[in-house]
Amino acid sequence: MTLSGCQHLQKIKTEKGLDSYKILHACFISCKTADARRRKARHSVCHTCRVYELRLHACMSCVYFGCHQEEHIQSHARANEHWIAVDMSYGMVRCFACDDYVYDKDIDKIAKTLNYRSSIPAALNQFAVWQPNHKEVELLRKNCKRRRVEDSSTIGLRGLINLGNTCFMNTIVQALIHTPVLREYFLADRHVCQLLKEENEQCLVCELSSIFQEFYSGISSTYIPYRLLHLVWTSARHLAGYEQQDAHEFLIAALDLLHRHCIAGPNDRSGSSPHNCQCIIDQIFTGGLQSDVTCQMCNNVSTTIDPIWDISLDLGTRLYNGSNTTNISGYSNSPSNYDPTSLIDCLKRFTKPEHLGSLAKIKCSSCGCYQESTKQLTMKKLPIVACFHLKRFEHSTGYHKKISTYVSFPEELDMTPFMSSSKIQNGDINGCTKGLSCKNKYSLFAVVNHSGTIECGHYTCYIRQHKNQWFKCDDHLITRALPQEVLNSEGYLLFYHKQILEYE
Amino acid sequence: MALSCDIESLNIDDLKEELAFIVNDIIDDVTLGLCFEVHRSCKLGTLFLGDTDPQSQREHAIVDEPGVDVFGNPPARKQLECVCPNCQRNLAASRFAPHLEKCMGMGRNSSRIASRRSQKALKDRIEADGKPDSGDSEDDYNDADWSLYPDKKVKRLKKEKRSNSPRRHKTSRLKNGSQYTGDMTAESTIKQERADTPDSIGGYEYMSLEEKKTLLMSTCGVISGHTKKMCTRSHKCPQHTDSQRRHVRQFLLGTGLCTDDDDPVDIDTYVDGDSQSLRETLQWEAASNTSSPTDSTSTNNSTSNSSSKKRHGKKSSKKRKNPKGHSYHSGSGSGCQTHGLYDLD
Repeated sequence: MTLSGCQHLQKIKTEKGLDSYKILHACFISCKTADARRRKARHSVCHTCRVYELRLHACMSCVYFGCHQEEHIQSHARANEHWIAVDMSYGMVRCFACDDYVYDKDIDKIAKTLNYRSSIPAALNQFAVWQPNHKEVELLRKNCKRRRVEDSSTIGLRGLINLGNTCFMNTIVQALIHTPVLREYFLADRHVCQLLKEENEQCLVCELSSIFQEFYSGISSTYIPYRLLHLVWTSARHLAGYEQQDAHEFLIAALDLLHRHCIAGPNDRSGSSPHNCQCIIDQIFTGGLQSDVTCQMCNNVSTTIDPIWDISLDLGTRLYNGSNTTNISGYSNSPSNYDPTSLIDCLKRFTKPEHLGSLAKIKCSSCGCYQESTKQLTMKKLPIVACFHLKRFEHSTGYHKKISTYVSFPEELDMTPFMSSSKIQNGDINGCTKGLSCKNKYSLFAVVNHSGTIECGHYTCYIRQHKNQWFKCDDHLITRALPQEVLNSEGYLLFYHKQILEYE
Repeated sequence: MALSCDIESLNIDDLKEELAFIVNDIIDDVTLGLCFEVHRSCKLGTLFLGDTDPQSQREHAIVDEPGVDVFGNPPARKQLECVCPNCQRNLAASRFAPHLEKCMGMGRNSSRIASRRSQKALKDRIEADGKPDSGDSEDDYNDADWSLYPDKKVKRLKKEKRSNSPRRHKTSRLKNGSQYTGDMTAESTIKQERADTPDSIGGYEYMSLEEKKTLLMSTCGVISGHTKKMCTRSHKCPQHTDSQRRHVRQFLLGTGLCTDDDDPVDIDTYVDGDSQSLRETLQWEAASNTSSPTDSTSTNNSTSNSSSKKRHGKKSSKKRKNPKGHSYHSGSGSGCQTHGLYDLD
């Protein structure tokens, strides 16, 4: 069957046109204003039994609303030979002569424009179901091979060859490739390169896009990311060279490059400012870190919000510049010289008020002179993907070592306690966020591990497909892993993604 | 709905009933929508269009057995090849990174090779414009990957260089503005075996402030009283002290660098008063100058650094974590060692 309706619909179309459908749709199905919705509520009753019913239909030939349940619309159709009626909740067209819902090109078009018009303020309906057109259906029928990420398929998994000390790059590529939101973006082919044709070989976003295609193409042989390496080396000279590099440094550099190449186009209005950039990288990875500096004298708080791509967490005993925090009354509830044992511990320490010490006086804007102050970091805005960087590499003066302490991290993480908003309330309001707290919940989806010493070592990573299938990526070798294995691993970079995405 | 009658007047049971009615209505509504969606795709013949065909499903099933990866392949590494985007030659993929380093002119000897290449290209352009350079013979000559007896040849070449080709290339490289940033970082990775040759450059008097900054960001930079040349080893160069390095920066860039330490914003900078802080200060400086469109190379480098730094927040900028092997650790001996580690399967 095609989009040409039935003979009864065609007849009504030629006789009366589709104005009545347009009006019905605009007033009852895609109503825009509160007034229209109130009117809809008042009039959405069956004209025979005067009762509200879900499957209400409106006659296209005359003004009659009838319910489907009690067969009022059916009897109306038969009695008057008004065969065509419109479903009042979705605008589907029903022919009672053929006794089926029918589909028509022109009706679809009207419904589509009206739905789109009504969806703009709510931003809800703009993600409609994909309706393949004639050509696409034809193509899909002809090529019946499908690649789909399913429970037990290897689609989306691919090993990466080590090009010589490039495991740091491989782990980050694996983590990025398995970032759910980024995957949707690239597989939906949303990247439109702003560079000129001869330049787009220089575009890292295009390169990432092609790597996504390689990963989901169903080819199982090892992928050789040599073009990526060349591109990174030419674009970020500080990462160039046949050397072992830090995976975290590479991640930040890669995000920075991707962000730059996203906005490289001349017709982009967002500019290079990272604060309000709407490129895909900033939409996914950028969070807002609020830093409150409180003057000890007048309690004046000066707040700044910085965009962040990752959160670096200290592991070792923290060294303060000169002064010792345990002496400061009020904030001494937890000793500062303990080693954190879990990610939550690290985050608690990260968001704890910190006395800046007598050597670091800051000019207070209300006192007008240099005062001792405390600083507290909290999350103002949570990113869709949160990267936690455990600082396992200590560089004190003339002394470098790796901290290999075990830090536990959860599969599910609730960021609510580390938000700026929960800090202000300080838990006084009796958990009003409790019920809604899944808003700030995160799920682990990738872990990058480092084995070896600070000078040389090897990076591997765990990535998650689906809900709970874990795989270990060791360069070209991909093997299945158990969730417990992942959670027991050392952890260097932890990638979490938000469970619930909000419309903005 | 028309349910906006007096909610006050309803008792709790009625309220529950109304609530249940609304919830059920919403669920029904959504269900109906799904039914219509399925009906529509069924009628138009697109319902199972996107489903996996059984054959592909079988082809891509995960293999979960010990000894093989998820694709069912044994872990033995096949020799894969790739084409170098820089010189279009075929080579083993596992040797790509060391090759590219040389090819792009960053390695031990490759800075010379690359500069010779660029010089040659320049000469060619001047002498016979338009005629493409096909002479690979000289390129191959020095590239360890491509010569028959790599070690011997390289050593021999080194000796030749040492004896009779002083720094003809180096000065030319300095003039070649776009080239030298990379070469300088490469110079910093120069290994122990070259310690007897002077790792230094002259001509800093003619550099712009911007160029000097870029150079100092990656190198030690201490000017020898003897040869009047700058040291081009890394910041951790054992021959010079941190105070010497600080001194030369003050001398070359003018004052104002160290006084920045009083800036209350950057609380961490002066805590560990080693070369790290100096380097950060420099990067900070360079980052604040990025608006100047003059030098694109250093802008690229420094802004990406500094942006990451800023993003770390003040708390975290104290320690920069680089678990990479430091350049002076990976001399000829340890270099092999690290390579061995990477070959673990």
